[in-house]
Parts: sequence; C-alpha cells; structure tokens
Amino acid sequence: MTHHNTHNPASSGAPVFDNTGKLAAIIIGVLAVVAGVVVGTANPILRGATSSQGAQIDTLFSLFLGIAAAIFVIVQGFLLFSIVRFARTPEDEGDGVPLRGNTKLEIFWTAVPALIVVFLAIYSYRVLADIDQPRPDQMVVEVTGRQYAWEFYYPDYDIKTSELHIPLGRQVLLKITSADVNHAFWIPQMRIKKDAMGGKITTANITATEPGTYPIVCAELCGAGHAVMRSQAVVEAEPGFQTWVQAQIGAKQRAAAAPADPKALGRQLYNQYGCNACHKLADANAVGLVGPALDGIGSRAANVVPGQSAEEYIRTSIVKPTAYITPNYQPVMPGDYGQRMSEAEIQALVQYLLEQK
Amino acid sequence: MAADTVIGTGLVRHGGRKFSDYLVFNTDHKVIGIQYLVLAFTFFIIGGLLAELIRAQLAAPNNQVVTGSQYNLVLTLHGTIMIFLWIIPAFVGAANYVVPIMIGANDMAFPRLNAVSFWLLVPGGLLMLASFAVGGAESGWTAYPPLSVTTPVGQTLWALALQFIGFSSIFGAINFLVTVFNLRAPGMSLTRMPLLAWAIVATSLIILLGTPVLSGVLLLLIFQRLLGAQFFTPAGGGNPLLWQNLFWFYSHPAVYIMILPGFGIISEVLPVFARKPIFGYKLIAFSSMAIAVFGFLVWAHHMFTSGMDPFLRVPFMVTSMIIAVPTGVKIFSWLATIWAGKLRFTTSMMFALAFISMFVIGGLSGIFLASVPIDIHVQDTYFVVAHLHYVLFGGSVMSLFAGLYLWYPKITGRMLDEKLGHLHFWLTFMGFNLTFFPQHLAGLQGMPRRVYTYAPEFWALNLISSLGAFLMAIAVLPFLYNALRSLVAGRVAGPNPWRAFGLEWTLSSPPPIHNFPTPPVVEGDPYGYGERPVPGTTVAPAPGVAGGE
Repeated sequence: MTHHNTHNPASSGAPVFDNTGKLAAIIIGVLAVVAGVVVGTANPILRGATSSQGAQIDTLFSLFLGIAAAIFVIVQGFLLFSIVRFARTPEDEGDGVPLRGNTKLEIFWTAVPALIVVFLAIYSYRVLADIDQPRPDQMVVEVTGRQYAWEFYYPDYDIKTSELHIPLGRQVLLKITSADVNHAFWIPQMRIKKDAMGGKITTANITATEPGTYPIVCAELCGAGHAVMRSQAVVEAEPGFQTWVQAQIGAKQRAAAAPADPKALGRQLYNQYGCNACHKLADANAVGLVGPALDGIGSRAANVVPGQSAEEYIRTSIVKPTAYITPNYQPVMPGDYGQRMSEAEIQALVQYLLEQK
Repeated sequence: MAADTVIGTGLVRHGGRKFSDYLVFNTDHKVIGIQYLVLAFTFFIIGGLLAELIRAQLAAPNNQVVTGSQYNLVLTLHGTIMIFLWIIPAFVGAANYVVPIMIGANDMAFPRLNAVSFWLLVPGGLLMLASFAVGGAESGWTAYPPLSVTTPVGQTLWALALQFIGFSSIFGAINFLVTVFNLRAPGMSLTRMPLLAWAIVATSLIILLGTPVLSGVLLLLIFQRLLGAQFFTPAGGGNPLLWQNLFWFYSHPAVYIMILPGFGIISEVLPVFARKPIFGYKLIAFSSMAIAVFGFLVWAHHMFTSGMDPFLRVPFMVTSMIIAVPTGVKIFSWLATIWAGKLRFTTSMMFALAFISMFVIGGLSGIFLASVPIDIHVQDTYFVVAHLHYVLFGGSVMSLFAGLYLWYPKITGRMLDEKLGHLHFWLTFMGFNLTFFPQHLAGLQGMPRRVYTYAPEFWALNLISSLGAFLMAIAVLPFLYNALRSLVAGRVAGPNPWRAFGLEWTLSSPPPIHNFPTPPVVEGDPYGYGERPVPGTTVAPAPGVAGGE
C-alpha cells in the first residue's frame, strides 16, 4: 500500500524488508521460540505448590509464562533491532519509507493473538472446572475472618482452633465467612484464595499434597492490622491429623470437666482464641511475633500502667487492647474479646497469664 | 511586566497575558490546558512523596516509619491522587491544549464549561488533601465496604472529593465529543483526524458511560456513612458485592481512560521522530473504539476470588483475554511504524519507545490476571501492584512525558534541554524497573498487597524496590529544573521545531489567542512523512542515503 512518494526520492530505492531485516526477523523468531520453550518448561518463578490444585495452577502458569516470554522476545527484539538499525545517520535529514499499512500483516497480527488468547481461555477454563470439582470424602472446615485473626471450626469434631490443621490427601471444603469487614483467605503455597465476606459463605476446595506448615495470609485490606492477620496451615498424614483432633477434643473436655486445673483451661483458651498467633508464650508453645511476648507477664504487669494492678492491666489489655499500646507495637489486636469470651473465660485467662512469672 | 519575565516570552500570546491570568477563571483552552497540567503535576509530586513514604516503610520488615493505620491512609491517598488528580487530569490538560488545534478549531465547543471542568478539580483536590489531613480514608482507592463504612470521617471527604472530580471529568468528556465532532476544520474528515483525537473520542465515551456510575455508587457510600443507609452491609440487608460490581463497572473502564490518551500520544510521537507515516491508521483508530466497548465487559475480573457466581467468571475471563487483541494490534502497528524509519532519539522519542517496551510487560501480566485459576493465586498480591504500575507508569506516565517533551516547545515557545531530558529519561526508566519488576516475584511468592510489613524472606526484593523508588524521585528533579529554566532560558523554538505534520505545528509557538486567524485547509492526515513536504518548512526531504542500504 505504498503511496506516491514523488517528493522523497530517498526512499524510492530502499527495500523495506531487506536481507538484514529478514535475517533479524528469523533470529528474533527463533529466539522467541527458544525463550518460550525454555522459560515455559523451567518456570523458575512459580513452582513447588503443595496442593493438587496448586500443581495444576503452576502448570497453567508455566504455559502462560512460556507464551509471554515468546511475545516479550518478539516485541523487545524488533524494538531493539529497529533502534540500532534504523537510527538515522547524523547528516541524514530525510524521511523514512512511507509505508501506510499492509492488510495481510494486519490481519495476521490481529488473528494470531486472538487465536492464542482463545486457546489460553479454553485451557484456563479446563483447569478451573477441574479444581472446582468436589470429591466425595470431603471434610468441612468453617473459616471465620475477623479483624485481625482467623478462626477455624471443625463441625465433624466440634472443635474451634486458631490454626488450620488438615489431613494429607483428603479434600477439605472450606466454608469461609467474615465476622466484620472483607478479608481474603490465602495460603500462598497451596495457591488457594477466597474472599471472606460478612453475611455470605464462600467456598473453596483444597487437597494438600505435601506435609508441612504453611502461612495463611489475609489478602484483602481489612484495616490497620491487615499485614499481621496471619495464621498457619499444618498438613500432616491422616494418623497424625487424628492424633491432633483427639488432643484438641481432650483438651476441651479436660477444660470443661476439670475447672480445678485452671492452668490447663487457661492454656486451652490461650490457643482457642488465637492469642498464640500473635503473642509468644513458652508455656502454651506459642511463637507469634506480632504482639509483645507474654513470657513473664505476671511479674511485669503491675508496673506497666501507673495505678493499675497486674490483674487490672491484663484484663484491660484483653477486653480493651487500645487502652495501652506497648511501645514499638501497633494497635491491631481485635477489640471484641470482651464480647466473644464469657466472663468466666476471661477470668480464667487473666489468672493463667498472672501465673506466667 | 515583572510577571511576564517569570513566565517567559511565549505565554503572553495566550488568553493568559500575565502570570496571574493562569490563577483565575479563563476560557482559553490553552490556558485551561496549562492550568490542568500544572495542577496535575503538583499532585504527581504529592502522590510521589506518598509513594516514597510507602517505600520507606517497606524498605525493611517491621519498619516503624508509619503505623498500620497511617500506612493505609498513605496508600489510599497515593492511589487516589495518582489516578484522579494526576494521570486523568494530566491527559485532559494535554488534550485540552493540543486537540482543538490539531483538528483546526479555535477553542473547545463550550469554553466556559471547559473552565468549569477545571475549576471543579480545585475543590476536589482540596477536599482530597483535607481528607489526608483529617485522616480516615484508609480503605484503599477501591474503598470496599464494609471497611470504608467503618473508617473515620476523612473517608467521607475522600468520597466528596471524588464527586467533584467525577463531574469535572463528565463535563470534560461532553466538551471533547462535541468539539471533535463539530469543530473540525474543512477537509478534516474523520479518517484524517490525528489518532490522538480518535483516542480522546474513545476516552470521552467511556467517561460519559462509566463515570456517572462511579458518582452514583459514591453517593450510596455517602448515604450509608452519613444517613445510616444499609446498601453494603449484610446486617441491614445490603451486599458488599454491590459496591464491587458498580465500582469496577466504572473502574475497569477507567484503566482505559488512563491509557487510551497515552496510546494516542504515542501514535503522534512515533511518526514525527521515525519520519514515517503511522502504520495501520484505521486499525489503530478502530482498536481504540473496540477497547472502549470491550472495556465495559470485563469488570468482574477484579472479583474472581470474591463470592461472585463461579460460572460467571468464565465469560469475564474470555472477554478480559480478548481485550488484549486490540491492544496487541497497536503495539505491532507501532513497531511497524518505526521499522525502516529514520529514528531520532529525542527525549520524547525515548519515552515513546520505553512506553512500547514497558507497556508490553504490563499487558502480558494482564493476561495472567485474566486467567481465573492463575488469578486465584495472584489476586490482591504484589503481582497486581507490579502489573498496574507497568500499565499506569510504564504506560500512561511514560506517554505523558513523551507528549510533554513533544509539545513543550509549542506551549511555551522554547525548547527543553535535551541532555537534562535524557538524564530524566534514564533515571526514570531504571528507577521504574528496579521498583516494580521485583514486585512480580514478591507477589508470586506470597506477599499480599497493602501491607505495612512482611515476612523477612521478602526483604531483598523490597529493598530493591525501595532503592528504585528513590531513584524515581531523583529523576523528577532534572525534569522540574529543565521545565522551569527552559521557560526563560530555552532556545526559541519557532513554529515547527520538529519539522512535523499536524495543524498545531503550522501556528506560532505558542499559538495566538484564537488559534487560526484564517481557517486552515486540511489536505491529508498528519502523517505524510516521505510522501509530501512538511508545510511551512523550506527543508525538503533530502535525497541521499536510503536507509543505510
């Protein structure tokens, strides 16, 4: 579609696509294929998922990565080649070849990307349909997000915990909701993410394929403590999982049956209400780092806020955490423990912490 | 007269005769364009300082530069200001100045409405700053309820600010559409229009259809916050997904509001400095319109992990991927435009070439995000942060600078210093990639967005990001110095320093108050390089070296 160019004799003799250009196009094409295959196969940036759906997502990602690498090389290759090759010489004040378009080429670069994205969409759909598939032996875990902690309830066993334990290889149906604002439940290593919303139950199926302990992260901005709204998922083989379940049930029964052992009750409450997620405490095997460590809190508590006894300080810190913020920490502790815990539970927890000398 | 020396020789020929004319209501589209650009650039500095605060906090895990709640305020204002008070108004400003001249008009169709559009930004901007001072807009620029319902009073000021800015945008869109369709010079058929004018038509259509939805949903939020309405909270029968649907129905098309004018600018810059006609004019113009239409059919891809109907995700995935096609068409057309050209690496051209290179990365990561299974993992992570900055900085901001360096001589009558320009370019380019490329990896490896601290394993990636951000801040200094100094000390540009086609280059720099003393006659599109001599130049295209064969 070259127009008349009577005014520019400079361009008339110049082939637009000379041998150097053809050679460059071939080299860029070969490099693109090589880059696509190598990068797509190696996929160095998203691998090692620890769930069955995660493995499928990683494979899908590899395919996308390969295609993206090829397109990247094509665009940047032609761009760099043009920059080097078509830089004007200092004395050349003339114009380039007046090319207005090329219908075949334009159809080509409309149609080929269209085919590629349709292929990617179909492939993505197949992966999506598969990972959404429920299996018959599902175990249900109800997940509740609240500012700024996760809570897990196992209806099969009637136990409530602050970290997620799931058996290896068995599909888990997560029923996710929120007690307040929107959150998003994310286990990066398992490639699972779902929003938690008040008044609504969202679901996700997850099957763990590797034993281990993985961070659970909140991915939806939920307020000042969003960054520290974390927990962990512990994956272990079925026998280990059952042992853990029995231990939880046992701890709960002991706490209920034997209020004479306030220490066991306190320890159980400490873990049940998720204090352990943020506050380090050796007696409860808690390793959280978000809030101040509570080892020895019983000896310090009387000297923190003038005029407050140790008991008053600990109680206030639980039911109204913003009343006093320990230096270098953020005001991110949930403020609703006064409502969520019974008076007896609060009393037990305060006593338990007072004894941490 | 002292004021004249402050603003240089050129600007006095505008409707603005002295410096103070730029501070009051003025109906000359060129004055308004400058007002927009200066205001937007001021907010670019403010938004940039907020970004530096974010990167200072994230330079190391458990940093104590700001608290969690201050951090949320800073990130909210950074996002909102960059989108609504920098990118969008900066494009409006550039288009306000050049588009009427490019199509041979003497002003916008409604000059007073044009001034109203600008002046609505002033209370909007002040309210936005007030919301920062008061505190409370802490729910991100997306302001998802119920969080945005519970945040303190600054959130209401934030929403009111966006109402002013939204109306400014809507009035501007009407004005641009009427101007482009009714005020073109004789001979300027639609297919002879500069591609920037096409892009502005597409952008204005999106604004006209999308922005009222934003205004509406913000009004619902204001009702809920001030009057106890329950649109978004389940306890009162509301639904948090309602906000997400309405918000993204506007805010995904808004991405195209922020990039289509950039596409238009790139289509103007490349032919000038490649000395070649734009390649595939009709397909580029058509793809802008296709994007404007398809842009309204992809919004739910922001909600793939929300509680939306699982199957409905599939059609939205397909449309979100298909919209890559018209975008790809433009990229390939630009590559063909520079192919076999005679490239001049002015600062404007450097930014335009960087735009192609960087925008492609943002486009490619966008295809990952469109795929539902991949999005399940990367939604709300730093991968998204990287993606959107490759689009909005690597794309929109690069194109804005390409345009500013191209038209600065037209606007001021003086040339910018090219050495300082190249310094600005390279610092920006390096800083930008250092800042945002590592964020892809952080997101994939498990770092969520909008967090004031992170697990120690992400420290190295974040430190690189923070150093890059520091470089980007430094990059602004040579530009600022250059832009101010060249006003008085720059080489006098003359009407057509780039030997470019386009009606704006047939006028003096800056153009006279009503642009065209006699109506221009348009004989072709503004891309006739190599086909006909550039009007008004005595230099005929030189015979001789033919592409270095």
